[in-house]
Amino acid sequence: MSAVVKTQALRREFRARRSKSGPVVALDGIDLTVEQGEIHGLLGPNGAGKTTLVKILTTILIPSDGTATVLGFDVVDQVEEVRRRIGLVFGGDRGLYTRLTARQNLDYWAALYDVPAATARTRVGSLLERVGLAERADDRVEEFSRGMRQRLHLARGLVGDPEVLFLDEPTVGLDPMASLRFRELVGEIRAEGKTVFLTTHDMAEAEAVCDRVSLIDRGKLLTTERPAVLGRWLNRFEWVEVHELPADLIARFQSMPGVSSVETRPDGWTRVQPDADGVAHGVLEVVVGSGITAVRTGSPSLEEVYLHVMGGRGMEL
Amino acid sequence: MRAAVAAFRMQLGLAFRTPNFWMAQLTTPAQTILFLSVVNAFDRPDLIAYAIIAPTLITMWNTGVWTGGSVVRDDRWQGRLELHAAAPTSYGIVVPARVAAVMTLALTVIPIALATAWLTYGIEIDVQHPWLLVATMVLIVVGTTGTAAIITSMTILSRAANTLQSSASYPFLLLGGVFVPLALLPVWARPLGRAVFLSWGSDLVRDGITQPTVDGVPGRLMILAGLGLAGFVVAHRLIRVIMRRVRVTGEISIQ
Repeated sequence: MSAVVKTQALRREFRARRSKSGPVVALDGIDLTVEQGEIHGLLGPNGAGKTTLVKILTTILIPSDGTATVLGFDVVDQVEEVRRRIGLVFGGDRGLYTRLTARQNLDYWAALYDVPAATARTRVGSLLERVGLAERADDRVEEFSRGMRQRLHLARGLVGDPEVLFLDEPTVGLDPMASLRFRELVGEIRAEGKTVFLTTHDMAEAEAVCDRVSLIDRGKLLTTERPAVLGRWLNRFEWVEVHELPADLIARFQSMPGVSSVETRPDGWTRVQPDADGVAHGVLEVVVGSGITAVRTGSPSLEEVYLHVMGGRGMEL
Repeated sequence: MRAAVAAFRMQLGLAFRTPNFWMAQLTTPAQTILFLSVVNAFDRPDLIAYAIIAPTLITMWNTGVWTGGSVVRDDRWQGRLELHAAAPTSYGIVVPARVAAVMTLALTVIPIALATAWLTYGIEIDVQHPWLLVATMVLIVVGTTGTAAIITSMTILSRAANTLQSSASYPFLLLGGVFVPLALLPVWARPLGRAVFLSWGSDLVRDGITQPTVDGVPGRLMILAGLGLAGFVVAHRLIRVIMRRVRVTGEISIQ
């Protein structure tokens, strides 16, 4: 497979106007490759740099340093070639002309993507059908639900028949059913051979639709893996916290195989941190079996997972 | 070309659904009555045409600058500016086309002003040169579109461009000979006014309505057209430069 998106040492800084502090580094030396026909997820918390990367790849921003190509075209020097071959969808309510109808919105964007009028008529109709909005095609967008608007966004992103589709947090704010429907549509797009680059902060979403996922945090790309591997990492490092954990149980957990640390904080909560599959479940069984009810569990941050894995035993899993 | 036409049509659709657009038109009757009252009070029937032309051009200009200016402002606030930036069609084509749509609709102020004059003072305007008037109004629409698009493009750079829109309007209308002919302004102001397309337009409109014979029509129309088209070209180029700049600075993403 060939690389559809390729970045090398990509860096982006922002300088605030009238600010005496230095520039903010949004992306710091990103090396990324997205293969043809895959759904590639970019997973990271808010502020990690996901949207900045999408904006550079879609020619909205110019990188401070490094290079980025889409379908072999440079995103700085070959802007026109890139724009003709990509589609872009942002999540959320914004981005549509809400006083216009769904069809009028798509007609407008089709023209801006140089789609011939006759082709546009056919394509707009079929896209509206595909995203389940054919019956509401001539209703104003302001009457649409959030899920309907997001499906219209997707249709807008596809109206130029792009080879690569960039989706930036496309399901943010959607209810579970709308998210599920949206993910099904993304799967259909991939089945047509298009490449999809999707950003999300939701591991479940990444697992559900992506072929590969890159972890990003604080502007740095941590790793790229299959979602199943990342999911296992997250499960493996799921922690258990217990309030007022008795000393005998602390000692028991400290010697339990697969537990990497047991730490008690001044607020009375003790965190038991496993580093092997299924151990969190075993810890919970012991805690609940001893009659303790003040217990909670949680997933590690992506960075914690990364540090656990990379700092401990390398990448083999 | 297809993109420009689509942008024009889209903006027409938006304008018909946007009450704010028509609010600007509603100021025309009040302004027309104001000017006609002054003319009437001083018993100067020779200035009636002036009193109708002034509110017409003022409203057209305000519509171009304010409603046209909202094209970029609304796109920015609604998250559409970035989508335009990522599209193959230059925003430098989209913005003038959309402002042109607004300006075309703004021509409705002409019948509004004429109707106001007739309903309030029973005045009927006898136009001496209808075709000259039509041609001049078309070129005024072109010129206003180009100039308004230049001012509009500034809103990409700064959310404080409202100040520019406000402060540019009054001197522009004055130098454009909208309130009084350029010939009545101080001598030093006249050369400045001659660089403003509107001064040629307002003179031609007045002459077309009131003068039995109008001198130098082809040359004056060409100058009006040239200045108007120059505004278009400058707006197109300026938007391209500004869009490039905000890609570097990241200001395109400012909400």
